[in-house]
Amino acid sequence: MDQNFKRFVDLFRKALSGSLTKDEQEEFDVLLQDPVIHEVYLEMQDADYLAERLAPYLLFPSEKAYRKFEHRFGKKYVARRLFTRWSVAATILILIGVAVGVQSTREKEMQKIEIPGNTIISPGIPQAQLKLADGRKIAVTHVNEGKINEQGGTLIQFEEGKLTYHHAGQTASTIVYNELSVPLGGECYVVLEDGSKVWINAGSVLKYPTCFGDTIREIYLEGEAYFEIEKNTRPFVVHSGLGDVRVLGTAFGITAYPEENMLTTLVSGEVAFEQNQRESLTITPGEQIVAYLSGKIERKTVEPEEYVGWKSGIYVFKDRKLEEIMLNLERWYNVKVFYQSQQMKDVRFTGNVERYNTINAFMQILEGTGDVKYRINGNTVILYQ
Amino acid sequence: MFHEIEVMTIDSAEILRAVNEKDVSGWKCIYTAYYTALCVYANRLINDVHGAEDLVQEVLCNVWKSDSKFENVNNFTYYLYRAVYNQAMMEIRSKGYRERYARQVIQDSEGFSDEVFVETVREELTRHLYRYIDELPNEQRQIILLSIKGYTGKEIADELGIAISTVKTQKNRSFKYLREKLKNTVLFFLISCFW
Repeated sequence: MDQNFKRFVDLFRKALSGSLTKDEQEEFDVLLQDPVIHEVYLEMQDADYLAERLAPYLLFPSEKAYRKFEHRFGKKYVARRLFTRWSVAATILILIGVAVGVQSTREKEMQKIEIPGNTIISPGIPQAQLKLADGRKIAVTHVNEGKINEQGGTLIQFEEGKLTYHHAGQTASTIVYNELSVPLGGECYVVLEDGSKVWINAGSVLKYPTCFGDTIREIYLEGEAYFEIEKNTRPFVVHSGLGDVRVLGTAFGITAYPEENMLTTLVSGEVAFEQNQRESLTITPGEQIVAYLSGKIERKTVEPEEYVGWKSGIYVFKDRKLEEIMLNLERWYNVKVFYQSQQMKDVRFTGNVERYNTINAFMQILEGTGDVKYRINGNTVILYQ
Repeated sequence: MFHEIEVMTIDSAEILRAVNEKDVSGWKCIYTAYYTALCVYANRLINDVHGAEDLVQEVLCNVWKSDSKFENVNNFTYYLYRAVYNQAMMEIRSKGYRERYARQVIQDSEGFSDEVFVETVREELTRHLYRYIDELPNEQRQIILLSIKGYTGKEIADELGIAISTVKTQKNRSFKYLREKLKNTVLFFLISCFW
């Protein structure tokens, strides 16, 4: 059969592009009487089938393979000849280069080095965009540390990765808000005017007054943050899409990304969860409130580290679905995850992983379980079995 | 007297030149045209992603080292599939890969079995489609790439901020465009000699 391979492919190409001649059409019609061939013909016109068939093509980019080939057969002879003559000089140059280069390029290399097959993706970094009350937007990154702004007696400073609000004198009579947006692949640590500390995770927005009023402290969160609230006679309320969390002085984490269930996990103190100012539900340390998109509220006993560990630089997963784990990584490393099959999403994993490491280190640990394999191509992580 | 009429695609001339003249930089287009599809093909046979890459790299390096010359690109294409297939069968035997084509290994040393033959035709057609994705207009290309990555119509619509009905029509239009390209790969005919 295979001596016909070229003819087969040729006829198929013409048939699929509608360019068969009359004679060829007759020839092709005969082939189509074979049910297997007929099936191929139908498949090749089915968009969903083709998309599925093309999926594994993303696993095998050709560029790196060509570079290996080029390296092997390209400049070898030239290189060898040069090497013997220039080896001494080259060694000296390399040593100087190393000495000079190490410091300045280390940071760049962290981002860029590639191992065969996989792109290396570095963890998120402190970065955010601050929108001031007057609408001005300021980039909050390590390159512009220092005094940012002074608004109505409040001094805003960014130093050593920490954004701080200082207010001298009395509480504000009119409340003005700032909005801090942390992009995917970023995080930000802010100390509010009352001394409360907030660690904001990737892909989140926190809106808060530059100076709180004298009856209540109110802020707004979309996304994920960890709070250490200063004890104070004024109650502190975190507003979020699916409900409000009311506290006095306490430490807790909130995960409230759009279109996801909201989690409030208490580490110390006491918080009350409220929905539309209706009934409130109080939890104690080690408990969590889940506010479902459906409107249902549930109290659970959890291991807080699993939900707030990220703030201390560690991800703790206990019997968690791969899909949930990867959702965290998508935000922190700013990547897109692609699953070869839907069933994979439900495979469960347990483990502790460092937050400030490359995604590759993370994936190697996952791969080590033998339940999943990975590929990183650009900013796409492809998972397969 | 007529000789064989050779069908040439736009880069088939370059492919042929690179392989016959052993031009390392010209081999870039060989990698672009074949590497990915051959890896997918090998992976279907041995079911091992890293193994498939090594296998295809070895086959291509062997072509280079063998000083093989080819009359036309179709022969070269066919040769590559055969070489990958043979190599895969050898590895199945030596490394004991468990997989579905293993039973056909020994019986068939010259040609493909029917099942593998059809699979090879499929891969070759898919290879051609894949190569024209880059030529699609931006939105259509994004839609195709996202659907290849497994996004649903709704997810694509959300991602690109377009209507789900647009996704559907654009997706079908794109695949139609790719299919029509199967014809356009036949760009010019070289009639080797009349005299």
